[in-house]
Amino acid sequence: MNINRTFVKWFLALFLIVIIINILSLIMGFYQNWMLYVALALLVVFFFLIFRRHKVGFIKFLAWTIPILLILGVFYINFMPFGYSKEYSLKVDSNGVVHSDSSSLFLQDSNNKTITTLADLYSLGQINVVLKPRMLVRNANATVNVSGNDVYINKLDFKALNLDKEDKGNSWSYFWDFSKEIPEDLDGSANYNKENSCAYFNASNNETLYYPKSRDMFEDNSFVVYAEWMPEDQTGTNQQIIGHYNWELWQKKNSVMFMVGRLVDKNGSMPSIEYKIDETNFFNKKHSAIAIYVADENTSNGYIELWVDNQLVGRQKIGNQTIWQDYNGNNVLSFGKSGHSPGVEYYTGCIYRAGFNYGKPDYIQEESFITSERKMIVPISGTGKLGEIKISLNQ
Amino acid sequence: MEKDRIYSSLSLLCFNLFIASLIIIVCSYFSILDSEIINQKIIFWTGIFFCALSIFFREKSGEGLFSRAVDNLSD
Repeated sequence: MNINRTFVKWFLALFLIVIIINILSLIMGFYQNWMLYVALALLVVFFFLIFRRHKVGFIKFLAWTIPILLILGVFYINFMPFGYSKEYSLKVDSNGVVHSDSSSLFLQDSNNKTITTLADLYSLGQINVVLKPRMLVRNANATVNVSGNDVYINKLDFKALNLDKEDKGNSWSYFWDFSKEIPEDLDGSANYNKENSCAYFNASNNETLYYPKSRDMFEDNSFVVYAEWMPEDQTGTNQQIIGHYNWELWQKKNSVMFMVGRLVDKNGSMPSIEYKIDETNFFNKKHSAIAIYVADENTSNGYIELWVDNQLVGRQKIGNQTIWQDYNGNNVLSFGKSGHSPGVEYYTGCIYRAGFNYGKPDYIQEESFITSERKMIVPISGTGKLGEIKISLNQ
Repeated sequence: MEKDRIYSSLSLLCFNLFIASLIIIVCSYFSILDSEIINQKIIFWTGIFFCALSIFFREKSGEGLFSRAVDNLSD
C-alpha cells in the first residue's frame, strides 16, 4: 500500500485541528471525553500512516505505538489534564442485595469487610460507603447523596440544630445561654464569670446550678442535649456537666461520657458512650458535645449517640428499652454535680451554653466536599432501609 | 528470513515495553507519578519479563550476541 505524502500531511492537519478544538473546548468549557479519544485515535492512525509510508512492518508499528500509548496512559491517569467527571451509583434491592454500577463503589462494615447483602442497617451500626476510582482523582468536588427510609450520612445537620453564634437557641425546647448572665430559670450557687462569659463552677465551693421542679421533665421521648464547656480540674472524677440523674453528661479524668439509665426498671442497664481524651490537650479549652437519646418502643430501633467537638464518638443500640422515668426520684436537671453517689465530684470550669431539645436529631442525606485522597470513605447509618447511594465526582 | 524479521520486531516490541516500564518506575521513584496507583513491584517484574523476552526473541531472530557468536564459530 503506497501512502501519498499529501494525504499524510492532510491527516496531520486534521489531527492538529482536533487538538486545537480540544484545547478550545477546555478553555470555553464544552469539553467532552470523546474529543480526547478522537484525538488519540487520529494520533495512532497518523503513526500507522507514517510507518506504512516508510514500509515498516505492522509488528514494528505496534512495537513503538504500544509502549508510547502505555506511557501516555499512565501519565494521563496520574495528571488527568482534561479533568474527570463521573457519577457512581449503588442500589440495595428489596431483598437487601447490594448492586453497584462500578467495582470502585462498595459498602464495608466496621471490620472493613465488603457487604454484599444489607438486610438490617440498624444491627450493623455504622457502615462505610467506599469509593476508590481507578483514576487518581484528588481535590475533586464530590457530592454524596443517600436515599432510603431513615438512612443518612453519619453527620449531624448542624444548621438544623441552629447552634450558630447568632442563634439564641430559640428553636430548642430549652436553651441556657450563660454568655451574658445566669439564666433566670436556673437556681444555684455557680456565678457568672465576666472574663470568660460563662457560668463558672468552683468545685471547692460545691457550686452547682439546677432547674427547679424538673424532676418529671427531661426524661420522656427522644431528645438531644447540647453543652459547651471548658473543664479545668484534671484530677476530679466524674464531674457532671449537665444531667437529670437518669441521663448525664460527665467530664471524667480521661474521657467525656454520656450515659442513660437505668433503662426499663430498677434492674435495668445503664448504657454509656465514652470519648477518650488527650489529657494533656483537652483541659482549659472550650469543647462542645451533643448527646442523643432515641427511644423507639415500637420498632426496637432505639439508640444513644455522642458527638464531641462535632465528631461522632459512637452509637449504642438500646432496642426497645427506654429510660426508667422514676429512677431519678426527686433529682432535677442540674449542672455541676451528679445526684449519684458515691464516686462523683463537683465540676470545676466554665459552661457557656447548654440546650435540651425533644425529638430526634436531624442528620444529613447529602454532602458535598473536596476529596483529599483517592479513596473516599463516607460513614452512613440509620434505622431504616438503604435505597440508593449516588456519588458524583468532578475534577 | 520473514520469520527472523518477525522475531526481530517482537524483540523490539518487548524491549520498548521494558523501557516503558523503566520510565514508569523511575518517574514513580522520583514522585513524578503517584505511587498510589503504580505498583512498583509488579511493574518492575513485568519490565524484567519483557527484557528477558526481548533477549529471547533477539536470539531467535539470529541477531543476538549468542547467536552471532555461534555463527562466527561455525564460520
